[in-house]
Amino acid sequence: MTFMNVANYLQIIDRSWRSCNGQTVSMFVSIRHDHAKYRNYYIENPENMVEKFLPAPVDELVIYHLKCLYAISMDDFLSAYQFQTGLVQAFTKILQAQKEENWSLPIMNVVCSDLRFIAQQAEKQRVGVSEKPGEFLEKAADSLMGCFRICAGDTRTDNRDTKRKGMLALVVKLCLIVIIKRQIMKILLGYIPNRKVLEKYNVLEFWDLVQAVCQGNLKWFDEIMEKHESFFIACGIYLIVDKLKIIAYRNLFKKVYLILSTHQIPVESLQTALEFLGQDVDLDETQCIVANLINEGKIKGYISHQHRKVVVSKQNPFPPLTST
Amino acid sequence: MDSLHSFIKGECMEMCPKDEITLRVKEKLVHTLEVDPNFDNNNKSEMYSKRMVKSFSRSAAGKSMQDPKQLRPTAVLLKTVHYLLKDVIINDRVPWNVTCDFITDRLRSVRQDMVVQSLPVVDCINILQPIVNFYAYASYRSCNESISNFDPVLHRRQFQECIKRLLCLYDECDHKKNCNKAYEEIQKSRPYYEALYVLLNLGNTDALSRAIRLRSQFKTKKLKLAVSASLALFENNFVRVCKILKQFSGLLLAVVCLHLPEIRKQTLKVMSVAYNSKNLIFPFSILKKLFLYENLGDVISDCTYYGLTSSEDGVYFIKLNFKEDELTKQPTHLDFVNEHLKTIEVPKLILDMQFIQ
Repeated sequence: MTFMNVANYLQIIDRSWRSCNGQTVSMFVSIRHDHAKYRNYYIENPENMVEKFLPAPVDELVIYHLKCLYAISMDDFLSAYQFQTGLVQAFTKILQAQKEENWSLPIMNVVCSDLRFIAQQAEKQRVGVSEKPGEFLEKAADSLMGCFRICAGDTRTDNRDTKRKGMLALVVKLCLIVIIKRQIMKILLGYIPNRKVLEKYNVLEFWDLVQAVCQGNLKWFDEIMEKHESFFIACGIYLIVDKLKIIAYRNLFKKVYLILSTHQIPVESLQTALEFLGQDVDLDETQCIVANLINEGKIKGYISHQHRKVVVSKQNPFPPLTST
Repeated sequence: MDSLHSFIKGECMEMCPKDEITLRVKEKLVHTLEVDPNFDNNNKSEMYSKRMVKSFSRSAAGKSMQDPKQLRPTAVLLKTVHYLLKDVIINDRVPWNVTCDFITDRLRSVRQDMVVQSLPVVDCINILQPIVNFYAYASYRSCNESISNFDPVLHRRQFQECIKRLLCLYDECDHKKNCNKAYEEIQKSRPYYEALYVLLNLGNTDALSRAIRLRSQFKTKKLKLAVSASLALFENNFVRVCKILKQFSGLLLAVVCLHLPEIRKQTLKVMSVAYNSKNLIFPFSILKKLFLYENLGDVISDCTYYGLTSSEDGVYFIKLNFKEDELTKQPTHLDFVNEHLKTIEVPKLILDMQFIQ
């Protein structure tokens, strides 16, 4: 079975490009559109064919796209990822050159979400041990940031034609979710994300959050949660962020332990610390929080209810989070 | 195209179609609750028709589901729901489990008629709301029944099905810009049903995420309380869950209390690790107070059930003794819930907007 022949396909792209029909072009450079399922589009060296039908700069896009389809058909997502990156970068240049017009934004949305999809597949196919996990996704995010900068920088154009319209779909969804979820997972596993990384992706809200968790400052933590509530909800990470709270508890209790320098910490002292930080908890609830930390191996020790004391291990009572 | 967009309109103006009455009377398939207790032997078909309600039957090969004469329009469906939940539910002629089975079956056929006709969103919501509430009530009232009388798994599945369909319909409403009175009424009762969904799925991340994402206009005091309870369970803060739990009222209280056995099991499990000691005991009286047990006997029975040994005043929490594989105990009736529910008549509890908003 075949879809329309490639020559026909190229003519349609040519016409749509000339008439500034971003929607149609976007369909024909998507790996999810119907044409991508047909074998006659899997061409290893499409250069000659494409250049016959299409002018610069759109020819470059289509060449990358067809090469990418070919790589996917060979189940080689590592190469597909390289080609799609080329496609996004070529498109970025075109986008930058187009002053005072935004008809090509649909194309941007399509090629960028395809890039993310392929990057995810490439993550699964990685072979070498030397590569860091998440590398493809992070590099993909870099490419998307390229588009984002152009859109964000397009401030002088009239509202109707501005590229700023493309920002929302682009970055909020693709970059933040990919990167941030990883960062929070890292904190949960006991790693502190690098300030530079957060700075780079313009999510410094998280730096405060990280600081609050590290210090065990639950009051600050609550304040940040409240302030950025809608942001966390919109990104779909509210509940993951909430999970960080248990780490804040651990860090706070560790401080109390260090200050009192005893292996038998009165539950009352822990409760006082919590209350001081604006937490409305009684002794029973404090004990419940400690019980969870012990159960999860974040504190080594046991609770004696009769003495209302947490008896912690003489050795390493607060094991590093990376080991639990 | 027309056949795609036009649906069958029911023409049956009684709670039960004529054909079904004839058939069931002939085959002696009339339910006790459909017989008039003061009946007069001479006038048979009269005595049934008033009380008979269309029963549920699956679609099957060779049986048309689309005969308008067998389908009831919105007004009749609403009338049927109200008849079942106002009159039938308070009857004392048969045991509760018989009443419950009867109503469940007849409500199911109401839902079926609703789906076959693809009724408008607002109509569906008005039909489903009381049905969902009935499921909430029945899941508490029947929780003491033996498995031969009441199957909690089956009941819960239907409950989830109904409430999820209801929430999907609310979402559909969001996309329509209609602002008539019927829509306004629905917006008022929505937070209650959203809260019910959170409490039915306490601690569940999907249900919790949904509630958190709702627009602020729906985040009423009730819904916020439900979210905080669910969030507390999500954080394993069992003490707080039980504290919040007592603040609910009506059917919300009844439904959330069904989670107590699971909460208690999780608590005992965490405590067996955190209070692990061969010498120390944990007083029963505190467990009773914190986890809303009715009496000390119930506390001791739970501890023993999960493999923990105890002395006179308390339990020895020992990590290795806790039997995690034991099935979670069945929920039971609680005095403070029963006392609370007693103050409200059952039909009001289910149908009255005052208890819903």
